[in-house]
Amino acid sequence: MLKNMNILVLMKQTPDTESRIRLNADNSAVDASDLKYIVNPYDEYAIEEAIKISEKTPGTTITLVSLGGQNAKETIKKGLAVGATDAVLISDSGVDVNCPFAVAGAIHSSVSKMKYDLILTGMKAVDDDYATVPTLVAGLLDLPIVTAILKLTISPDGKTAEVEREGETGREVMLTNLPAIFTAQKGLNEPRYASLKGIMAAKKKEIREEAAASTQPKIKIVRLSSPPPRPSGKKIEGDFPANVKTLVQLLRNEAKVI
Amino acid sequence: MKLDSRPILIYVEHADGKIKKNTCELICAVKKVSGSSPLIGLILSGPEALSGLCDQAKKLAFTKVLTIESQEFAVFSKNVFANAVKDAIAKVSPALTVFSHTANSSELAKALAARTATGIIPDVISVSDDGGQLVAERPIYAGKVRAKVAFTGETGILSVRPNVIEVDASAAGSCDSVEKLDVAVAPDAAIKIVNIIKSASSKVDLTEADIIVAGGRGIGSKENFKALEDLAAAINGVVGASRAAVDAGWRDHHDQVGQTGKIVNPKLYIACGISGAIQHTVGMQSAKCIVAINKDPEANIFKIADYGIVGDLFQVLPELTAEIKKLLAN
Repeated sequence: MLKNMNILVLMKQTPDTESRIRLNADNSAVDASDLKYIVNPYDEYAIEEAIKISEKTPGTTITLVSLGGQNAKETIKKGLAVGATDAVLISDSGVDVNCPFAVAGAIHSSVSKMKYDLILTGMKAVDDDYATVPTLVAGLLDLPIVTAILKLTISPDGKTAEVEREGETGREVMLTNLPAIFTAQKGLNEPRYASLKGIMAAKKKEIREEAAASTQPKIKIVRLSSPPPRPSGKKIEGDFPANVKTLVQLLRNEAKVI
Repeated sequence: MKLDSRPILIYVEHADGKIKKNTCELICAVKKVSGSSPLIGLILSGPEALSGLCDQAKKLAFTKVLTIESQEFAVFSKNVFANAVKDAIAKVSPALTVFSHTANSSELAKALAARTATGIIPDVISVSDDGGQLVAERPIYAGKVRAKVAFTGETGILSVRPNVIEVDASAAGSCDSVEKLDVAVAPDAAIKIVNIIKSASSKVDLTEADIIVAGGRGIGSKENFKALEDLAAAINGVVGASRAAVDAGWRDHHDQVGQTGKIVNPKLYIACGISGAIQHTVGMQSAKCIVAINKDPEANIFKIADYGIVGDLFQVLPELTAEIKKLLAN
């Protein structure tokens, strides 16, 4: 039976998807003053998958690895509360977090010193939407990567994994050697809620802190803007079914979309 | 980064022997900044389709078309394809390599960036010249914010969101120069594709769809989506869903539109029984025309809809389907 796997989960703190995002006065950054933070939703699927593996695989460790500031500890604790065993916070001080290469370099410098059989993370972070860092980390660690997976089955000897993902032409079933990096798509599993016991235990767990290696950024943000607001439209007056007839005429003659 | 007359390599996406429209979008996107830089089209294809694809590429605004032929390209593998593109890059030293941000090509672009340690700006909606510097604009926070991004080095990779760039006459041209690159193409040693289970319906991906009929909590059940399927079938559209409908188990997750689903840019988006939470609207607010049908006149969705109908979905939808059928039959 499979045992003692070392799983790393790369996770990120992101603003709540329900938040409105405002820019600072000179449009150089997002105004973080009253943002609420959550575990990046896709990373929750990665954490859940790691826990599911650990339940079937005695002696497994799940180490959360996150790049961020001190305030990221709150969300890392949430990952510990649902069942991760350890956590490492890589300080983002001095890291250009707007460049996927700089982020991947910082994560790589830390992860390359760790032991791992499997690395899981979300398919993208819902803040910068790059969906690129995992592929770059895989490149730096020389590991295979399969993105946006919907199913993961580890072989009994722990040497290979079969994964499924939604491709352009259908559901792709792939086989790869481990260690590998897989990024989680919605549909992989249903993330559990933390138990009270888990939350209490997480409070006592220590989050190891590391400094990040600095990598030269390859891209930089020139400026940010808010998207132009959509002009408000019109409600179509009139009773049913006359209003439907009006709509069809407008779609054909005014909007010219049908 | 400045282009300085250096080439731009454009990855030509194709399916079933036809060059896809998004290749024209890429040409039009870079034409605005390309100046005297030659546009080089790159076609990776199996031997059967290649000559037909070359004929089509010759009618586009390429200075030159490069081809790499291999049976290995029959099934998409980001690693196999990225190695081939890397070989093409070594040949022509482009300043910029451009892909469409589709499911496969966006993966290819990332794999290429990792292999070549080249800066990548993914999911771009426009490219511009900012005081001599090439700048690409991309939505972040699912479109709540837009970022103008530049490369710090001398080379870069872009992937351009499909269905956003307007295709105009500048995509067309006449190109006589076709060169076949003789490079070895090896199968993927790290990841083996065991099987591809074809979807029952060969429906268009939401991100590339022209018309989307989407349903939310107001649809009420899995079975009730039939009314949306009927409308979609009548106008050659695709059915999408809000997170509420997906979480309720009425639709598959890959139908989800929104911040934790797909970001779509159709010509027409018909939102049915969708309240319009920001989580959803960021995923569809760049549609050219939005129609909202909802029984709640106060629903948020009406604030961003071009046309709204307040009413009972299950009355309105069949009537709308019938009216559109009538219109299209004439």
